[in-house]
Formats: sequence, structure tokens, C-alpha cells
Amino acid sequence: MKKVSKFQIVMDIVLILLGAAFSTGIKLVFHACDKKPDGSWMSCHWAQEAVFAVALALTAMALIRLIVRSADIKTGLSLAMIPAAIMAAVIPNNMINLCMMKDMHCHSMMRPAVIGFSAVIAAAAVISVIADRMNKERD
Amino acid sequence: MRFRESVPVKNIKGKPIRTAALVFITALLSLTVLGGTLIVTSLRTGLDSLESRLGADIMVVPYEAATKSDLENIVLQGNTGYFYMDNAYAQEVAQCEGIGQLSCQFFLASASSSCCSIPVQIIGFDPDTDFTISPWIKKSYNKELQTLDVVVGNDLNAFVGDTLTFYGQECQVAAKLDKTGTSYDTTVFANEETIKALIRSSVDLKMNTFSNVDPDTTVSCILINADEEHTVEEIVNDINLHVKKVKAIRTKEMISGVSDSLSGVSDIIGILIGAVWLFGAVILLLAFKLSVNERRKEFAVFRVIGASRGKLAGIVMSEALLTGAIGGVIGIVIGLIAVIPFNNFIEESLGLPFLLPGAASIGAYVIMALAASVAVGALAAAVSAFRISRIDTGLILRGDN
Repeated sequence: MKKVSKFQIVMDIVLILLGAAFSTGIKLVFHACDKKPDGSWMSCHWAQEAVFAVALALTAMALIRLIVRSADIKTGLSLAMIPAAIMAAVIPNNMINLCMMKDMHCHSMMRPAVIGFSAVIAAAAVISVIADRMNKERD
Repeated sequence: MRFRESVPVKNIKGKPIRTAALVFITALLSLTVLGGTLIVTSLRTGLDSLESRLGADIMVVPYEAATKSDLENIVLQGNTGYFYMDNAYAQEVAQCEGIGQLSCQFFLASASSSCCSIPVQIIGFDPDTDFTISPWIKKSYNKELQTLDVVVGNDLNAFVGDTLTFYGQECQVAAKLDKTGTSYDTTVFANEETIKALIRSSVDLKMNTFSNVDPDTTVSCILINADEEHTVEEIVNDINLHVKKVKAIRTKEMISGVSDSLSGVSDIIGILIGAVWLFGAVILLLAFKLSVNERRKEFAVFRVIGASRGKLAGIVMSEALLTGAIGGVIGIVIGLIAVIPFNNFIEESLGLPFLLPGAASIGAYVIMALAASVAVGALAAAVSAFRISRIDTGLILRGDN
């Protein structure tokens, strides 16, 4: 079994923290619009729920990445995180419609934050893949 | 010598905490200058946009609407609402002296739009007399609007060809307007026939606050441009004196509140930028001074092995330029990410018109912020570079400070 480098461990922790921040943020900070006065939800709420599910999956993948020792499995998990993060970015308004006006919270806060987090997670996943490859070549 | 193996790069890599601190300060400097400039410019562009969108010198509204500030809420704050007056007032106002152009508008708020419970403001205009909305719509849609055709503001999540239902009437989206950074971005525009049909439907469905309103004999507001021989003030006074139950308002007066708030926000941002820059510059100056003091022996050794005074100053300056450039780029990236995607959130939070400048202007601000942060770092380092070029090698190596 090859030794895991310090940088790989740092990247694993960064990915876990990003996933956790994404999962909690989508529920608490950059959430969708509030309920309608009649108590029903607007469609942006379902976009939030879908993003939350993908964010949880990303966090789980990052956790597994930290636990497993196999370099190939680690790389595989990072590679899987890239399309998953892109998927999260396209959910609001492309796959599930957001609200009518762009000055509403789902447009002004949730969507840009989701795109930002997704981009950062995808970038971190790419860096972790490169770190895995460099570590493998060094060994 | 390769760049990665040069002395300044090795020094930067060798002291990661010091480098991180310098990068952080320069990042903060470029972030504040870019973020602050973008926000202030967007607010100014938004105000200009609002002025040009209002497009009339005078607005005449029912007296109650003016006193309850309904008009300002609708026009400036983007709130939905409507009020009506008899169109006989329009004829009466038209008799006043000095009227250059006159056109009526009709307001209505939707009870619900297609996806959400959020009401949308609908403004109807008379295409034959209109001089405020039509020129602006023509930039996006050069045909005549048909009955039940609507033009939507840029911030509405509706696109050309979509169908929007208002009070049971299906309206086709004919065009989407360019962004203005004002409340008009969330407004739906329709011609006189369409708005009258919608008002009629709202009354029939008993969903209109004005239960007895007859769309054929009412208008919401009258827009006026003064002719060349009369001043706006004269016409406003004339209308307010001679036409009962209406109030004429100068549009410039209406946006003076927005203008005051904007200048307040601009001042606060200006002070904030100034304070951050002052502290940043002082911290950088101290940081380079401490760093150079701590490395006096290192520089003395460089002198002993043949480095010229200019070479030593060059090392300090190169380190400052490198950390300044790295920090500047990081600050710019953070600034762009914070302002551009979240511009709607900033607009909503400030409650002021907010229109981002064009890509070319943003590019110019980016270059300016980068140049400013690199320059302040270089200036702070220049003082230390000058001092280090004057060191007495013998004294330092003997340990006699």
C-alpha cells in the first residue's frame, strides 16, 4: 500500500469541509425562498432539496476519500466528484425552475452561491486528482 | 537562472507565513478597491438608468397616491400597486400651458404569476402617445405590440414565447428588455388594449381593490414633458393650482431621495476604502521594515559574496512585486465573485438602483485595482529597499548593531 502524502490529506480535509459547508449552507444560509402565505412551497424549494442531496453525496464521497488508502479508489472518488459538483451547479433554474423574479432570494443568493461552491469543489477535486497522480509517480 | 530558482522566489517560498500575511494584506487592498469601485459605479449607473427610464419631466397622479407615497413605492422601490383616476383629468391637464408631450399610463399588479405567489407590477402605455417606454422597448422589440402581448423586464424569469397568465388572461411574452438595474426589471409592460383587458378581468374576478373601476374611462398616471418655452416648475405649479384632486410631481424631485441615499452609501464606501488602504499601507510598510531588519545578516552575507547594493534593493523590490501581484490577483478574483454573481442580492440589500458597468469598464477597474495594490506594496518596500542598500556589512557581520 502506497503512503498517502500530507498534501493529499489536506485536500481530503478541504473537500470534506467544502462538502459540509455546502450541505449546511444550502439549508441555512443560501437557501431557497420561504413558504408561500398558503403554506405551500415554490418550485425553488425543490431545487434546494435536490442540491442538498447532491451536496450530501459530495460530502460522503470526500469522507470515503479520507478513509480509504487505495490511491486508485481515491482518484476514482475525486473524478466522480467533478461531474457531481457540475450537476449541483446546473440544478437551480436549468433543471428545476426557480422563482419568477431575479431579485428573489433563490436567484440573488442561492443560485450564485451554489454555482460558486460547485466550482470550488470541482476545482478542489481536480487538484486532489493531480495530487494523487503526483504521489503515485513519486512512489 | 530560472525564475523558480531566483532568490526572491526562494525567499517567498522559504517564509510561507510572512508571504501569506503580505499576500493577505495586498489581497484585501485590491478587494476593497475593486469591490468598492464596482459597487459605487453600479449605484451611479443605476441612478442614471432610473433617470433615463423615467423619461418624463412631470408625473401627474391621483392626490391620494402621491400623499400615500404609492407612486414612489412603485417606481423607485419596485413594490407592486395600482391607483386610478378619471381620464377626464388627462384632458384637463392637457389644457395647461407648456405641455410638450403627454401620455397616460395604466398600473396593475398581478395576483400571482405563473410559478410563484409573488405579484408582478404591470404597466400599460398608449403606443400612439408614449414617449418613455416605447423608445426603450424598441431596443429589444421593433414591432408593434399586439393585444395580449407583453414585454417583460430583465429580472423576470420569463422568456420570449412563454405564456404568462394574469387574472385568467393568457399573455404571450413578445420581448425581454435589457437590464436597467431599477424596479422596471421586474415589471411587465403591455399596450393600452392589453392592460384594459387585464384590469377588466381583475374587476370581473373581484380581485381588484378598486371594485368599480372602468378601464375605458380611467388612467393611473399622466406623464408630461415640458415644451421649450416653459419651465418644468411653471407647469407643475399650473397643474397643482388649476386641476383638482391630482398632484403633479417633478420626476427629478422624486429621485432626489434615491440620489441622497446613493451619495450616503458612496461616502461610506469611500471612507471604508480609504481606511483599509491607510491601514494596509502602514502594515505593509512595517511588515517590510521588520522583514528587512530581521534579514540584515542575510543581506550582509550577500554583499560579502559580491552582490551589489542595487541587487539587494532589487531582491526586496522583486519580493514586494511578486507578493503584491499574487495578493492583487486573489483580491480581484474574490471581488469579482462577490459582486458580479451577487449583484441582485446587493441591489436588494441596499434598496437602490444597481446596474453593473459593462465588461470593458470592469476590465479597466480590474487593471486599476491590480496596479494600485502592486504599487502600494512596491512603495512600502521601496523604503526598506533603500535602507538595505545602505547597510554597513562589516558592522552587521560583527554583530554590532
